[in-house]
Parts: sequence; structure tokens; C-alpha cells
Amino acid sequence: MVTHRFAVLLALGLPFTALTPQPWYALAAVTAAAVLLALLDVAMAGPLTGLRLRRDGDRTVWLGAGARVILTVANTGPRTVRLHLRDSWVPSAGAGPLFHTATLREGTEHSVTTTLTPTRHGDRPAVRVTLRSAGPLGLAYRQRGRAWNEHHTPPWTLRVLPRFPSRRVLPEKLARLRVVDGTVVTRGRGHGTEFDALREYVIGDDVRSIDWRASARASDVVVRTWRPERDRRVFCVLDTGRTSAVLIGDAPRLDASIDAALLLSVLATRADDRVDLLALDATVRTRIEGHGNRKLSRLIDGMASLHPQLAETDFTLLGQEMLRRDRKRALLVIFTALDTAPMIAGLLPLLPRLTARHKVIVAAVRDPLVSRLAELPADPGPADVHRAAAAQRVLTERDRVRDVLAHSGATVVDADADTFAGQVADVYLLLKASGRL
Amino acid sequence: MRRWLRAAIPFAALTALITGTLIVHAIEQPDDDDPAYLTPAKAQGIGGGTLAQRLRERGVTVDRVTTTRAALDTIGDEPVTVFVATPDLADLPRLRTLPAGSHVVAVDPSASALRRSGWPAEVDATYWNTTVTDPACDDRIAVEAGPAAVRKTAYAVTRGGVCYDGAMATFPAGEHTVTLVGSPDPFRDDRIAEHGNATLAVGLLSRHDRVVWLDVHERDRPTPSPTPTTTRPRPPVTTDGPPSRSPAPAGTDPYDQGGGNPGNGNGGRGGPGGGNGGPGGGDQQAGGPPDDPLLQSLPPALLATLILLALVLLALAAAAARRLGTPVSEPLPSKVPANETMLGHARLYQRARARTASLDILRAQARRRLTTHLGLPPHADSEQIAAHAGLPVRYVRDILDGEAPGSNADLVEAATLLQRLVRDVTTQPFEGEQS
Repeated sequence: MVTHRFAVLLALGLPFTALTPQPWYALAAVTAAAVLLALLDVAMAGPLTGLRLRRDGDRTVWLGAGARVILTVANTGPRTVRLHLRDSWVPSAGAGPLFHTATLREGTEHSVTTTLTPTRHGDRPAVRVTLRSAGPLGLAYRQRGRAWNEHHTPPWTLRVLPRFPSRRVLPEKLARLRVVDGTVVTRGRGHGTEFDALREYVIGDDVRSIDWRASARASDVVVRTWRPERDRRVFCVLDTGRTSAVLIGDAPRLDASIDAALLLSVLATRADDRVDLLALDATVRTRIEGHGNRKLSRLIDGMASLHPQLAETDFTLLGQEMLRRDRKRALLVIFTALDTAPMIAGLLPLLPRLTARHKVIVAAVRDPLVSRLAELPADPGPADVHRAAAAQRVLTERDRVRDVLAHSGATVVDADADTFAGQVADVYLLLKASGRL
Repeated sequence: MRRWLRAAIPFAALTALITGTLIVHAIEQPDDDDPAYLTPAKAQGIGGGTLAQRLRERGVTVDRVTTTRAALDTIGDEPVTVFVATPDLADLPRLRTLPAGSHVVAVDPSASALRRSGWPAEVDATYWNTTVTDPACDDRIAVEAGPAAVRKTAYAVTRGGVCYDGAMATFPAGEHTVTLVGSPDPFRDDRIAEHGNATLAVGLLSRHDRVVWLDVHERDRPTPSPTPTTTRPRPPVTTDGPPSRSPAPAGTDPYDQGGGNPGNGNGGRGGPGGGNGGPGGGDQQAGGPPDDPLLQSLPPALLATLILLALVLLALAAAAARRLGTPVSEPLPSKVPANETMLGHARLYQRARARTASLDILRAQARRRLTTHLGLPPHADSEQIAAHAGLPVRYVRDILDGEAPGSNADLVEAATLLQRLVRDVTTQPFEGEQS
């Protein structure tokens, strides 16, 4: 194909046709010369078949951070290639710069760096590298079709991990966990009900925990230490149905749920509890169970691929999962929304049976806009009053749902987005400390 | 938006009114090419049947002709009255050959028709509608007719005389006399009975024993040809042969030799067509592309430059057409705007002016918050709340059980008071337990 220079070359022939006495011959000569030059240029352009592509760089990145992926082009062909390439990613990968230019002598390599700032979590694939080899005159170039370029593109997928803003409260929660755990002895024994070990009495220990029998055997006063139960099961259930697509602020509700679930998972893993994940809407989207060293990263990976679906959540799937005969007692944390209709149709009928076998927490992030609109502004008008009434109506309905849920035996966490994850973690720590897991 | 509309609506209405009036007026005007227009054959509406009938009653022969040439053919040598109902369509210059002493009556000729005719008259004024005027002249027919509806177009003449404020002009043209009437109304069936119309029309047309009624409804005059020289000398030359064959003897050749000749020269396509196909094809060839005046008028340098320019643009388009990789698409995530139902409710309340409903919701919620805060049962009445909060009973009752708001201002005031009460009670340290 030709470039703009070819058009310019033709345009340079315009004076000849306009001023010579034989305009038709001039026209033919100019066109023929330009076409010949272009053909020559294409023939001298380096072959595309000799190019080899490979990628290197980041595989995962947290949402909000930047990643770098390096694309290396090696020229194994016989001639120099004047290369123009475009590295196409999906738009949400935020890739840039898209276009690169390089001149590759035979047997050399060239690396181009693409910086990615993804706008959504999940998998962001590289779609296609389009190659173009220009001739030495720049009049024409060689370029293959889309299918050929796609076939020669080295595959690469950047996994974008979900936003985790509650990371900043993690140290505080971990510190509290250590207190609960008894690792940091501030006042006497660690909380919990499970026997841990015997050790020598030091001043300040609770005298009630002195093990007299052991003290008799040893020549010193020995106390028993306790620790919280371990290897409890925490089961995070993420509702990815239509209610999770609702925007809270400028992010969908699911993002806040994922954030809280991540914090809870990290905490519970540190506390040696077993964390499982189930994401469901009309079908089960993700299920992560079992033990392993890489459990936490598997959980994060699993959450990264979740997206809100415009479907009604089918909580009977959760029932089938959790009411299995061999299912052990677990802390079931259901991240959903406290909307009346889906609750009545979905979770409520199931809840008594769930609470009979498990400890259930229903966690829903609250839209701060509703609370704000429920209060009148400084200089209210009739529209503000009507809006406040509508907001109060929503709040009343939500309170009613909360009461019904609590009546069915579930613990309800209903908080604004900024404190939501922390509150879920607090409930977990409280249950852990009081040995009610 | 509203201001824009306020400015635009009167103008739009005015424009619509004016346009509508113009359209209706144009529709109401009879068209020259309407076959029913002033035809002696039809006695209704815009026809001229009644007039023809009255003329016949007075012993005048009415001859209807449909082309100017036919009119001249039928006239002969006797002087007649020629009634030109549609002078814009008729071939007026031909009327110069009328017998001496003839009368021509033309109905509402336009300025262009007058120019073409060569009569010493021109249009002086044109009016929106036909009006009735007095004759104001000493023409016998006009005086006899009295006021008539003739004034739609007024004429100015250099000789002769005018009546009805110029709407009727009579003047000699050559050996005959011409009368221009400014409006078709006196001749129309639906208007002939009004004023002195009938007398005027019959009087104008009964000067001779015979009226030649020129009932033309299609363009009668020949279309002017731009170069008269080229049309005449082109001979029906060259059967199939190339243009090199000299045209001189060909003037008679193809017709004489008929089917015999065309086959022998360049055989092939002339075969089935025979002699008749030959001249047609030759004619087309002669008037075809080589004679295209546009191409011939351009100098070849300009043409070549234009072609090269087109090539340049084509090359530019080709260069821009091939992209370095097509855009990539991906499915968008589902996002649902929050609180649509809630805000919709709010708008609904406002539109329905549901002040009572809105305030009831706010009051119920306030009562709930107060009772919860004061540790009272949920349905505690205002007296209990006032007692526990340490506030005057009347004040609390007015706010919590007040009457329904009558206006928006009442609603806003009630809601503000309610919020202030809740805020006061819940933010102050609770003293109810001590008392």
C-alpha cells in the first residue's frame, strides 16, 4: 500500500501536466514514474515474515497502579526492516503509547515498552500487534491482514487485581488479631477456649489459669495458656447479581464487597482459619476451596475475575452448597444488598436453615447518598423535603429488612463504603475473640 | 429553551400563516394549462361555456380552435374577433397575419407575453386580487357595461386608450385592434353574472359575427433554438460508415439505396437492421461524444491536470484508508445508576403535590428516632415524648401531630421544625433517666 508521500510525489507532477505542450504524455509519465518508484519501494522493504515477537513484563497489577509490558521484536530476515507497529490492548487496559517506530537491521532486536494503567479489575488481554514494514523511500509499505497479525501476536494477559483500599486498616486489624491470639501478651492469657501450652508463671498472669497439677509435678508454678480456635471455616459468599451492579459513589457495589471480602480473607488466613469463596448470581461464578500455601493469592485471583451480572441471584444454589450433609459449621459471610424484593424472594426463606447450621453474617454496603438526602439541606425547598421523604422511606424499608434478618438469626453489617470492610473485619474479630466461630 | 421558544413561536406562527395564505392563493388561481380554464366547451367553474352560449344567442358564431396555427387556417379573409384566453401559451406573433379590421381580445397577458407579442403595451401594475372599478373612459362597450371586475393587472399603452384604471387597454396593432383585459373574471362562468361582467365580455366579443376562440392549454409557440444554423444543414448521412465518407453525395444516398447498401461496407451489425437502422445509428454517432461541447471547451492541459489531481486525491484516500491495526472492542461492564427508584419517588411526590404523604413519612421516621433515643415503646404518643425530652407538650405535639401542610412553604417549615426537634433531642445529653 502507498503512503502520503506517494500522493505528494504525484502532486509534484502537477506543474508538468499543466505547463508542457503534451499534457497527456506528461500525465502518463508522471503516473508511471510514481507507480514504478512505489513498486520498487515495496520490493525493497524488509520482509515481515522474518520478524519474531515476544513479550515480557508484569503479569499482575493492583487496580490503580501501573504495569509495564515489554514487547521485543527480533529481525531474523535478510534485510533491514523499517518497522511501524501498533500494540493493541483492550481499551480498559489503558495501554500507551500505542504506536512505535524502529529500524531493525538484520539479526538485531528492538524492545518497546507499553505502560498500562487499567481502569477495571479482571483479565486485560493484549489483542494484537500490527506490523508494517516501510520501504526505504517511504512511498509504500508492506502490511499483512488482521488474521496474520493476530496469529503472530505473542499472547499476554495482565491480571488486574481488584481495588483494595481497606489495606490501610489491615495493620490495625492484624494487631488486634495478635492480641486476641495471645501472641502479644498485654493482660494475662490470650483469649480463646482452646488449650495451647504450659509455661512458667510470671507476675501479672491471671492466677485462675495456674495449673496446679502441673505445678506440683514441676518445681515451679506453671500456668496454662489458651488460644483461640484454629482451622475454623470462613465462607465468603459474593452476590454478583443485579443488585451488585448498582453504583455506590462511582464504583459498583461489588467492588466494595470484594474489598471487604479481601480484608476478611487476609485476616482469617493470618488467624489460621480456612477461607473459602463462592461467587454466585444465576449460576456459581467462582468457587475456591481447599488448603494450600497459595490459597490467598488464589482467592484474590478468583475475586479479580468477578463482574456484576444483570441477573437475579439464585440463593438456592447457596443452600445446596451450604446445607450439604458433610458440610462443617462455618462462618458464612454473605456480601449482598439489603433490597427488599430480592431479599424476600431469595435469601430470607433460606436463612433459618442456614443459621441453624452456620453462623451467618449478612454484609451490605450502604449508599451514603441516601443518608445524605434523608437530611434536609441548609436552605430547603419543597423538592428537598419530598426527596428526604423518599430517602427516609428507603431507609425505613432497609431497617425493616435488617430487623427481619436479625430475627432470623443473622448478624447484619450495614455500613457506608469507607468503613464497611473494617466493620466486617470487626465482627469477625469479635466472634473470634469470644470463641463463637 | 423556554425563552428561545417564546421568541420563536410568534414568528413561526406568522411564517406559517403567510406561507399558508400564499399556498391557498396559488391554489385558488386558475392555471393556464388547466383544460377547463376559459374553454367554451364547459359551462361551469372556471370555464367559459356561459359566455359562448350568450354569444351564440346574439347570433355570433363561436369557433373553438386549440392551436394558433389552426386558428389562422380557419379564419380566411373576413375580419373576425380572436379571443385569446391564454396569451402566455399562445403563439402571439403569428396573429400579425390576421385579416385587416380583426379584433384580438387577450385575457390577462403577462409582461413576457406582451414583450413577445410586440404590441405597444406593457404591464403597469399587478394586484393581489381582482377588484371592481368604474370604466372612467368613453369606450362604448365599457360605458355600456358599467363597473366590472377587471382590475387585476393594469396596462400602460403608448397609443390607443385605457379603461378601468388601465385594466382594459385598447390599441391598434398593425391592421387590427387589440384589447387587453386585466382579469379573466368577466369571462368566467362563476363570475360572469356579477356586476357588468357579462355585458363587458359579450360586448367585447360580439364586434364581429364570428369569434375564433383560441382555447390553448399547452405551449403553442415553437421553442427557440440556440443555434439555428446547426439544426438545418445536418444531413442524415453515414449509414454505418466512418465519418471519413464525404457527406456531399450522402444527402440522397441512403434513402435511395435503402436495404441494399449498408451490408457491404463493414457488414456485421448492419445486417438485421437493414436500411432503417442505418441512418439512425449514423445520426447518433454524429451527435455523440466527439461533439461534447464541455470536453471540447476544456484545454487538454487543464483536463490532464484535473485527472492527475484526481489521482493525487485517490492516492491520499488510499494512504489514509489502510490503518495500522483496527480499533479493539470489548464488552462494557454492567453498571446500574443508584437510587433511581428513590429519586423517581421523590419526583412523583412533588408532581402529585403529595405534601401530606411526604410529611407523614418524615414524621413517622422522626417519631421512631425519638422513641428509640428516649427508650420509649415504638408507639409512644407525643405527651410521653415531650415528657421524656423535657420539652413543652404543645410544641412537640404541634410538630409531630400537626395538621396537614396547605402549601409548599408550610411543608418546608414543618419539615425543618421536625428535623430541628430530632436534632435537638438526639444531640443533647439525655436527661430523662435522672428525672
